[in-house]
Amino acid sequence: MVAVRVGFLVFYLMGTYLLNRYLRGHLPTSSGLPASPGSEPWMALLWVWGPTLWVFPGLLWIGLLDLSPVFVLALSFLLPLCCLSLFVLFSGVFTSYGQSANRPPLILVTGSILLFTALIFLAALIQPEISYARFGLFCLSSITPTTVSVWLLILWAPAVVPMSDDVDAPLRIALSLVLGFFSTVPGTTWFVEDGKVHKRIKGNVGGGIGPGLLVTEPENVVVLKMGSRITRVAGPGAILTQRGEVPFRVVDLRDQTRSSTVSAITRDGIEVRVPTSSAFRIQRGSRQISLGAPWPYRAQRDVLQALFAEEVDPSGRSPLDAHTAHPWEDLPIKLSAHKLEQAVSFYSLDQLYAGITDAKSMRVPRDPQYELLKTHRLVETSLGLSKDRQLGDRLCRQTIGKTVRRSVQQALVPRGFEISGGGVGGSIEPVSRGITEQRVEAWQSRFIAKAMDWQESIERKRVTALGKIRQDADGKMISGLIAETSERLKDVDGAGKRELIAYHVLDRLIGMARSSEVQRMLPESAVPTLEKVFRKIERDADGGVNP
Amino acid sequence: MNLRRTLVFLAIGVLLVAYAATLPIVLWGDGRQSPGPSQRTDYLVLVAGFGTALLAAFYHVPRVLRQYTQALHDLSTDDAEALTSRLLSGLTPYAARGVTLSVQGGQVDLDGPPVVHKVGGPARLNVDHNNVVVTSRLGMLGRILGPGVHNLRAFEKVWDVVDMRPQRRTVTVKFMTRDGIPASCQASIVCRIASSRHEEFEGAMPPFGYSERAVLKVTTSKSVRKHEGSDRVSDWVTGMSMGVLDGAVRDVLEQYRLDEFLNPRYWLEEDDVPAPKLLPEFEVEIERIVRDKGAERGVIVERIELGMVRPAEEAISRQWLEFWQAKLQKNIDTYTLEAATDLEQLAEDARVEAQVRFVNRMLEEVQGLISDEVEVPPQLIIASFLEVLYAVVSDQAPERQRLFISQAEDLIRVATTTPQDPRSPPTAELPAGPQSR
Repeated sequence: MVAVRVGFLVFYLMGTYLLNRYLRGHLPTSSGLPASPGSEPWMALLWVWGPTLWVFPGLLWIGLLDLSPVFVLALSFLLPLCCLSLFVLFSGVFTSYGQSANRPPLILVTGSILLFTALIFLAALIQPEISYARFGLFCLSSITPTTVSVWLLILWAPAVVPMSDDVDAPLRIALSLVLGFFSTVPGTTWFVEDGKVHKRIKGNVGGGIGPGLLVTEPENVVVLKMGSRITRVAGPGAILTQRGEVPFRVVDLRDQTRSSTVSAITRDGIEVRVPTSSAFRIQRGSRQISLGAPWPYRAQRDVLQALFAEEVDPSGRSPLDAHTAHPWEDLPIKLSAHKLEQAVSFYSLDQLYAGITDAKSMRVPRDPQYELLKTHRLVETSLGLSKDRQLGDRLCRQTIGKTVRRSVQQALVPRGFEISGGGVGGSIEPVSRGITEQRVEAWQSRFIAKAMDWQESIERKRVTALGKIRQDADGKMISGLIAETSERLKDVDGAGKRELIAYHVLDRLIGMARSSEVQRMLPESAVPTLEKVFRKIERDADGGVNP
Repeated sequence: MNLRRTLVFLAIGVLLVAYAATLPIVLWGDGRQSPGPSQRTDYLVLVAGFGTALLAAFYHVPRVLRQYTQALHDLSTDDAEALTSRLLSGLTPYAARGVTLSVQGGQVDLDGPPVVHKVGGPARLNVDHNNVVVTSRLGMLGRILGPGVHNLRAFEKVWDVVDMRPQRRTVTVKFMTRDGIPASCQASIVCRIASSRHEEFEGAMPPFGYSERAVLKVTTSKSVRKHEGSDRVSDWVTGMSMGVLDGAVRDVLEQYRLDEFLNPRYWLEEDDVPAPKLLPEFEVEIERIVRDKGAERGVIVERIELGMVRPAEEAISRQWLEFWQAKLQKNIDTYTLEAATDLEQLAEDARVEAQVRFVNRMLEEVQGLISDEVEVPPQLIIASFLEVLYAVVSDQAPERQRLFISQAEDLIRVATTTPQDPRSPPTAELPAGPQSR
């Protein structure tokens, strides 16, 4: 018998090793459908504890208990099974979360196992040669490893299951999720990643073991539905779903911005492209984002209203997706584009580029700024808005943007949206290049005219400057001549003064004319003529005063 | 091995020892008989079997949980095994040891353990000195972790990383001038996350200080721009550059006409046009707007750099513009050159021209005096001189005219007050001075 026991031990060791190696690469396959009603607990039991080969530690006692090997085999199998059945029954895993129908069969099977085990146990006890001490130790050695594994499962399961800290009965939930997974008919587990729902553990939504689990990202919530009924808005966080609940849509709570370009026609019939944008989010109310708390939103109603404001518009879509609703995030920009198109039609192109820069001008009738303000008011009234005092923006497009934003707010705030910004997102451009070209040509003409003016003004300044220089030169020359002559006269007395002046003037003239720079600009006869006159005066002067 | 696992292991060991100690008593009574070889073999087989069963239980439960984790997080077997092991070890330094996720340069190290990135801790998180991390745990924002080494709790993962270094972005802003001409301008912004404390490195070295409120604000105010694509969410720097800066530049520049951006030197010369704003003035105005909006977002704007405003190439070609600007510039240069460097030459030329004119005029006056052999009286020369003088000064300003005439008259007065010589011919009539203009 020793050889048999050693053989069992070797078989046990090898079996444990090989089974673990095999199971390393194999996961239980979730069929989504139960193999047969009420079999889930036993499937889980088989998957979780089957690989422990719990029967073998008891089999090693064959031949040591003075009992028939059949008894030893039966008790080695049944005693741990009793422990596991009791654990399965009292853990509540398979009888809660809408699985109360499982309770009677589970009680029945567990009771049967217990009864059968008790019978065999009693039968063993009444064997005449049995040693109670050995039998007791045999029983302990059979159930202890199984009990330890149950204890470890209870100890460790909550650590690996992602659950919120504030969840009720975390142990039961953890065991439900883990054992449910091994029952091959688990509840479904979903994770939201990048705003999309990913199914991680495929289960049976309506009849799976344990609750479903849904883990969202911090910035989104999930709308859940059950059959054709919307049940609630769940998240953000790790949420346990009820039986039959499935994610319907993920709703992003972050700030959203959408932009588009609108083609509109101005009052003077010019088609323009107007970039528009809209910034919005699900109504947050006065709540603030903070650490350790879910991303705030005002109420479930806001989320649902925003989501169910989605519109079905088959235009521009293929027949396949013609009935797919456009996302709720597209609604503000669509509305904004429409309102903008309406608003632009009230303005002329010149007004679109203008603005109110002078508070006085906007009160003067027929002033362009007065007219612009009048148009702003008209747009306001036409879009059904109340009167706003602040319409005097320096750019017309800013006022249009504000007006459009107010209009979008008026329409969408009751639908759970919070409109935080938007309007005209860029420059307004005429669609036709010709319009811009005309403006450019006009500007170019002005630019060239200004350039010519500048050129002329420079020429005028140059001529003026030259004239001034010449005048200065004349003045200096004459002043110099007079001053020099006066100086000479001081030394002369009597009647010779006139001759002296004449003599001196001519002398200076001859001096000038002889200068090479002056001479080449004078007729050749200039110097001889002056000298001749000078000689005549000199001759005359010889008869008078010699200067 | 952590404490909890050690205790479990110890408990199992105690059970095994107790079993091993009890077994001989039960098998062989009071021990007065020494066991034979077969009995010793039985003993060893039973102890080994029991020990194997306990160890199998000890290793079997983590295997079960690993399988669940593997399916739950869609991991490989090895990753799931490592993660389960860390999860079972609890929040202890042991759990985090060996698995470190680094954050540097404003992003998570892509070569780091993917499990930590996907599922989260327990793990160690090494945040470099320029970075701040916002964590999330099971659908809620967790903690804000500054530079240093941190232990991530179970399922706590990196949600966002903020680069604390100053960030520069350059955008080309397209806009329409007030006169409807498309133009563009390059603008740069340098900004960073607001700090909670004064950031002068007075002897101390970085890390950068940061305000938790500002970090939370910038990470949670990201905007989703579209449904799909890698750029569907704009980060805070993009929000500042593409949203705030772009809008501010356009809002400010669209208030002006193109004339007011091109060649302001030229327009400054105009007396009747108010002086246009220059680029630094626009820059200051835009910076003020952007700073205010940045402060609302928890961002400090260090500076704005505004480039030259240019009309759109398709509207006004650069060639055209350069031609006309060059033309203008040439005039300006000519004018400036003449004014500055040729002044002396001009004055010299004018002096020569004045002399030539003066000599010519005098020649015209005295031409008749040399036609015959009559004597030329000095009075005639003086009269001619005065004629020429009056003619020359007639171009001068009235004040100067008066000055010259008065000087000339003084000179003549001196000459005529001289006692008359009885032999001299009668004094010639002096011409009357010109009327002052």
